[in-house]
Amino acid sequence: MIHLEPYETNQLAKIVMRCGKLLLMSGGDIISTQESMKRVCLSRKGTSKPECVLTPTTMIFSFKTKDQIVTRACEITKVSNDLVRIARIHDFVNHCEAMNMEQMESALDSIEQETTHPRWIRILASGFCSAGFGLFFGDPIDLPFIFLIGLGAGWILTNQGNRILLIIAASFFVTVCPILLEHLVHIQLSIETTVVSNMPLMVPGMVIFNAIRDTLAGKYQAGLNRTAEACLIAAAIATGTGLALGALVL
Amino acid sequence: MIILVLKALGAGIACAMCSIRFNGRGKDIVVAGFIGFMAALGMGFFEGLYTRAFVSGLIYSILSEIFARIEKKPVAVYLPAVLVPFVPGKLTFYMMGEFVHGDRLAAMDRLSEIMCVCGLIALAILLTQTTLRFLSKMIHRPEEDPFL
Repeated sequence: MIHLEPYETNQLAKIVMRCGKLLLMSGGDIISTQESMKRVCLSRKGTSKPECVLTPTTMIFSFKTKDQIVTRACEITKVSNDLVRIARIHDFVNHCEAMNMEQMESALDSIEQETTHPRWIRILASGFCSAGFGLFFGDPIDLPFIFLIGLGAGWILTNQGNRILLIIAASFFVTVCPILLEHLVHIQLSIETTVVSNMPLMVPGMVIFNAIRDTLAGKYQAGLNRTAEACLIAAAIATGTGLALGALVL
Repeated sequence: MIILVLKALGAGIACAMCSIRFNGRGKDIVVAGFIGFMAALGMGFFEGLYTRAFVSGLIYSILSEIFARIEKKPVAVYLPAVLVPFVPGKLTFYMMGEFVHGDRLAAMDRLSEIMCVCGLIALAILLTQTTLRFLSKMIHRPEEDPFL
């Protein structure tokens, strides 16, 4: 077995943990993250037996070198949905064998510096997304109102704050707006379709996908964790809708 | 047919915009839109809530796997954005309406429908991934049979 210097071992451990952390923070699933971390670790000669214990909020990784067993642990505090980062990390993992450690670090630096779309683009995308759903649910006549309510929901959801509260606020907004538009401004709307067209903005697509993938891959702890998160978000959507409907009934 | 194509177009636009919301870039947005369009078009030929959920699940998971291999990207780049229109948001709204009006039995009935639809989506994804993994192993198997 090739001997790795202590500073090389530390550098490799840092690279592996960064890779895993970036993947989990971007919304990656547990299996892909585990395989990626193991692959990055084994890309260096002198390492063996990588072991990885992951949940959506914690990472424990260890590997063996000639002289020692290296273990690192890390907590994941913030998770978002970032498809570009997932694709770039996937690319990085596929090419890591051809890179030296400095190149791997600078590749990870460049991935970390990748920015998301500006807020106004995400809000506009929410509006068009709702309009698309309006068309999908067969209500082309109310598309302008669906688009505008979608913009409002997008503005709420792209705020900084507690995710659950934002979802409750957004679902309250999308339920109450069409009802108020019909009763106060006397605009003839299909309330049901307008609300339902804006509801999918809050649906946690990535969480559901990862929950299914992790559970089917046998990572039951992670799968249950993500299922609980998806159920909590679904309950938040239902709560906002229920509050709006209840307030209007009163 | 025109109405079906319009609905499919709506689903395609929704999937493309979901891809933007998930920070998708360039070709990924167009691909997500195309997959959503095809899934909505395919499910339009079937009747019944559960059949449509299963068929749409099969279509978008197969297409996501195909495009992931063509573009050499993970399937996670396409599937989460495409999944969003086919998850039962409408049923959730109906369920809450029934809870608020005090009709708990009907609300529980809706909840069981939601669980069934989600289960069928998961089943479609499972079938696709298992089949593709099996086919992948068959194609890449070594020439020699170690048991001979």
